[in-house]
Amino acid sequence: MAAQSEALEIGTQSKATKSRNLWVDAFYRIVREKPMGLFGGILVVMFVTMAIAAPLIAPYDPNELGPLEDRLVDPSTTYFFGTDNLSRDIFSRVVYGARVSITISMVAVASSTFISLTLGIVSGFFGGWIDTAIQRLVDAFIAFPGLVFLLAVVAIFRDTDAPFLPTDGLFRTQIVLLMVTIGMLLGVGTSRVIRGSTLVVTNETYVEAARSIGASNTRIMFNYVLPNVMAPTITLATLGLGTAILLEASLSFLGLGVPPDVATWGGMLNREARAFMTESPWIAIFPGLALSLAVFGFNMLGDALRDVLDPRLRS
Amino acid sequence: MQRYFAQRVMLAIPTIVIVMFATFAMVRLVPGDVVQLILAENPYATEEDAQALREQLGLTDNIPVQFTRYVGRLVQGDMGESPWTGRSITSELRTRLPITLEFGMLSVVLGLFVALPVGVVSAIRQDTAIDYISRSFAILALSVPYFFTATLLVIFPVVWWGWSPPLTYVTWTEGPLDHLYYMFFPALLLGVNLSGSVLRMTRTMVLEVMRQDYIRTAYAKGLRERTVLVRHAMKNALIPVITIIGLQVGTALSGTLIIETIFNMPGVGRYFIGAILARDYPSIQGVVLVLATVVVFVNLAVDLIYAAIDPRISYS
Repeated sequence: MAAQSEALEIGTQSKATKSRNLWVDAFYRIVREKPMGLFGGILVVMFVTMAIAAPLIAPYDPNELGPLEDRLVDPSTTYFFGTDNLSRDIFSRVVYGARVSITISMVAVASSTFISLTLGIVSGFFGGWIDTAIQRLVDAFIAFPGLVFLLAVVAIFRDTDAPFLPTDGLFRTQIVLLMVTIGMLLGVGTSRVIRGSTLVVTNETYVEAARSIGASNTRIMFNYVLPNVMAPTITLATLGLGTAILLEASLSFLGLGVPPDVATWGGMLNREARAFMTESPWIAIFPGLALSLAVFGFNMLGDALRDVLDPRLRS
Repeated sequence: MQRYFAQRVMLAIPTIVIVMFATFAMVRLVPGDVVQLILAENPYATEEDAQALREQLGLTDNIPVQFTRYVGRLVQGDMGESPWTGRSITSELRTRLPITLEFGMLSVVLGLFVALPVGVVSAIRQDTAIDYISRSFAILALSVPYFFTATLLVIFPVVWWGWSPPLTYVTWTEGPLDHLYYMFFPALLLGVNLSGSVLRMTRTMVLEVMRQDYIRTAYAKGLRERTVLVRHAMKNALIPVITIIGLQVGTALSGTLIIETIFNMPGVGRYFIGAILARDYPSIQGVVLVLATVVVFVNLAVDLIYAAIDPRISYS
């Protein structure tokens, strides 16, 4: 398969089509050659739409307590996914859950991208003692199992309220903390890959040329290195979105993530809900499926992107 | 080789020191007064209690003195006491850590039992139906969260057959078979989740090796496929897979934390979650320190094994 796609690559290159753009090419190659990646992309678009248009799609308010006789009902035309033990509409909660998962993972991945680019490029570009120092710290950081690190940070800051953040909604202190910490966790880990790509780019002739005409380090890093490590960055970000959703869900599942007044996929599966699941399995199935499909979508899309953008990264 | 071993062991020391410093800093990073936060859980606490707790946590001296004392105590195996139960954290963890480690190891091993054969078959039957099925399985394994599959495992047998997987922990001494029976299903679920990345790695490595000249030579000599695979390909393909097992230990520990809360396993994970909910900072500190140390040592061991069994690698 690798040989085949190499041949294809050479084939498309020799055709010397009109204007060529890495991202447009990647898009067409996924559509043509990567059915699973395309499927992942469709899932991603679906969940993002769900997140943006949640109030239009959800028939009920996710926290609205329904009438008592509608407690734990099976899926029907009134309640597409049934209701939970507080008569809340599970479909509406799953739709709003997409909003929470997507928002948290987007912010987390934005911060992780910033961290991994900064650490990776600085470490790879300067080398020497800077590189050694950064890599030692990265090593120590990686020694903490991811969830243990997240839980430790939650434990430290769970009684804190940052005065500059709202006390309600998706940007309250506890949730922002979650986003930034997940970002840090992902960013430090993936900075290794960026460092590796930076090392390759730094040895290219065009960097040497830039240096010989007197370009400053900052200029080289921003104008030469950064654009050339964009391909792995995008791949890592896409895969990171899936991981971030999983991490947030794990914490909410343990009751230490997003506060319980916000409907989340992980929270809908937690201990309190488990007491009612044998009576009404729907309350577990739908949030779990949504969670799995979203992560699956990002993973498939990320894999396809890695194949079409940067074959060297294939693991 | 000996020099590499010595070097690698030396490299672990700064990592351990950073880990110690990080856990030491943890309690001091808590915004506000950590003593007041701990005591807020107890409405009858007095000012004397606060002072006593402050002394016990070693918060009364300056930072360098505090850190030296912290490290000094750790070296003697003393991690302090839980302010709630008054019990020594070291002895709490001594009974719980083996359970967590056993469970984590069991799931890594079960994961390998799934991943290695499927990965190898997937590679040697590249682009066949088997290959597609096993690759899709790998991505599903990576995407479906184990706390979801574990939840399904707890509820569906009850709904369908009125049977439930065992949810009460049985120790080895009480009954080895019951113990294994209890551990098996949860470990298998976590193992399947872990198998995703190993499967993909195995497949890639086998594919790469199968393209090498010496494999063609082996075939050309007229060796049977089985011999070529086992004697020539596997040996070289599986060496890098060992490194990924090191990475898995951290993931397996994270998974164990969650699985323990679902199956009521008296391991480090449940202790940890309980400590966080109770704001028991000394215990939180102890758990983080111990788990991070485990990961550092496992990675050290993996690197040493890797160097020992791969004669092609020379370290400078």
